[in-house]
Amino acid sequence: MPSRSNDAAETARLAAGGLPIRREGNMIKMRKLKPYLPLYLMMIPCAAYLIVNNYMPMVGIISAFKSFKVSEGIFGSPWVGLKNFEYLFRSSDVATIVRNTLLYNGAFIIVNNVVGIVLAILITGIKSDRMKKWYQSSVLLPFTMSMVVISYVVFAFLSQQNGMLNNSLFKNNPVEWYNDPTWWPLILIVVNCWKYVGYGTLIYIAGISGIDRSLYEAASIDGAGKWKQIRSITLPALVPSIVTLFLLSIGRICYSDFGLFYLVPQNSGPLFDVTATIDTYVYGALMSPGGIGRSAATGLLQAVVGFVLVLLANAVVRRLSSKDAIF
Amino acid sequence: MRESKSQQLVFHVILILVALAMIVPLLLLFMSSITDENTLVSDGYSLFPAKLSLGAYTYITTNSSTIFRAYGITILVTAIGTAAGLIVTALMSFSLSIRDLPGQSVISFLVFFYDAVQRRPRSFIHHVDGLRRRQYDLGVRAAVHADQRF
Amino acid sequence: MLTNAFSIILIRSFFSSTIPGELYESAKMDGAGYFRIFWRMAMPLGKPILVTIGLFSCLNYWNDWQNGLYFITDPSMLSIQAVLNKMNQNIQAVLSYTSMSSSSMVQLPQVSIRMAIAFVAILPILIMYPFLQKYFASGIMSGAVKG
Repeated sequence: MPSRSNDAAETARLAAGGLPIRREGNMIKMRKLKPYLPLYLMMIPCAAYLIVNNYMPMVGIISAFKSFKVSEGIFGSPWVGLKNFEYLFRSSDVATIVRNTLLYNGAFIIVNNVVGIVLAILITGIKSDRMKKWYQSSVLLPFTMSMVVISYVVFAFLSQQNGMLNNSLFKNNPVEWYNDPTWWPLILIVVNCWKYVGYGTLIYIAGISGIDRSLYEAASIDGAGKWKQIRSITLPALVPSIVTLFLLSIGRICYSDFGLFYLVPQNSGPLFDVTATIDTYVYGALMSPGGIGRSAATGLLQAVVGFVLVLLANAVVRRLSSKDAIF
Repeated sequence: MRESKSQQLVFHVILILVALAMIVPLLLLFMSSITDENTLVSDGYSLFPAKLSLGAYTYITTNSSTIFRAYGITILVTAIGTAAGLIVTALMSFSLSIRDLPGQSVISFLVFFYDAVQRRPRSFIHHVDGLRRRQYDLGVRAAVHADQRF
Repeated sequence: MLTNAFSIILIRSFFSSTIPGELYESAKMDGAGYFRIFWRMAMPLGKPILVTIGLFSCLNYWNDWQNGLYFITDPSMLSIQAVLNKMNQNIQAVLSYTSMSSSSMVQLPQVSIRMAIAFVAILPILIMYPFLQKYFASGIMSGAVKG
């Protein structure tokens, strides 16, 4: 506190005396910063990385408003205003990709969280600690697999000539999995659950482990059955975790797992209507002429909508139960 | 507590099925890699192939230089990337954790802003949540101090 | 993928909560500069969180195939997952440009070889998984990692 009033007094004195304040002000500030100079130097590598990797590409947002020509680059290409957005909304695919993205994300959120909670309750209900660790490990294992390898595994199951399903369960009437779009929503939901359910399960296990054991004992003394115990003790205690995960998922609802939707369907034409999402559209548009502008426009929309949704979702949660809101 | 024997059995059965469901696809991958090629074409992928052969692996070790190259590149990228990333992150985090650093909130905001706007709102939420908690902490601390003084 | 805001927050909270201010005071009185405090004091204390973040970072780098897809044109510089992806793409391209009748004449890599390469790509993870699993689990449970 004393130093600050000194600076103010000094500055006022200098201003009254007509001397250039700026240099004195800067020198005062520099003196304050000097002891922290090593810290600022230590931040330089990270700052450089963030500027180059995160902030400089933001300049590319401009290409959303331009008709991008490779020969002219970003700044030379002609300005077209909102034409890229118009083209995007008028194209016949936009309804498909938006519907797919939103519906799949909704399904993923519901399925992954329900299965995660069920698995967490099952795992924490096991007495043997060793088996608990085994189940936990096995549930987490698919999380460590890359989506490319997963697409190979799915191919091994669903390949038309020699996939495992066609050779065992459907031996008599093999299904053309990669040409028939009817099953793919289910397939993609199953694959997504297989890969990511371990993550949610572990979070819920952590939540359940934090519940006081004596609550359960008191409840069973009062005569509550197991199902009632789960409903009134376990689930309410998990509500903060559920709300947090839900809020975070809402913010990502216009994004999809690019690997899942691009790799697993093996780029098969007949499946386009059920497996195209905004991200695969953005990637595909890159290859088409003048497409970079459209890709940038779509990406910009995704980011803006996602940001607005995070704010909205948090406002809604704050209205309902303010202590669970994140900000 | 919920410990009846039959209930434990049911839990175990369900969980064993789940664990198998998680592991069997990878097992299929492994079994199909050691299956004889002709059996694969005729009988298809299976967990219990009729004929095993290590032909695929001998092919990889003798012929395929791309695989070794790719392996080497991946290992190199992973090692260097992780080490450099850890150092860069730790330096930044350490600097940001010093309590009276001038401009700390500005720099924090700049660091997290990009993640917030792009596809990772989690870090932004945590950042703002951290700010809110810190204010709460400061408020509590101030209240405690005030109390203790009296 | 070098660093991300989440890791920065995490390590920063770790440092804030486990390194009391008095340590800094005493170190500064002994004449240590910030860098020495960082290297000799903060890093050893921060080992658990650094190990967790490091493991997840390793996993991300190992499983990364998108950088190879977007940025790398020289096929001899691809990572192993990118190689798998490229093989798939080439085979899809071949199958889509040739009709069914002539596909038998095209020499596609044998299926077992492709599966073997995929298995080799996940082999290090499978080997290390039992030993490192507890770090992954504890990392996720303490909210340390984004999905």
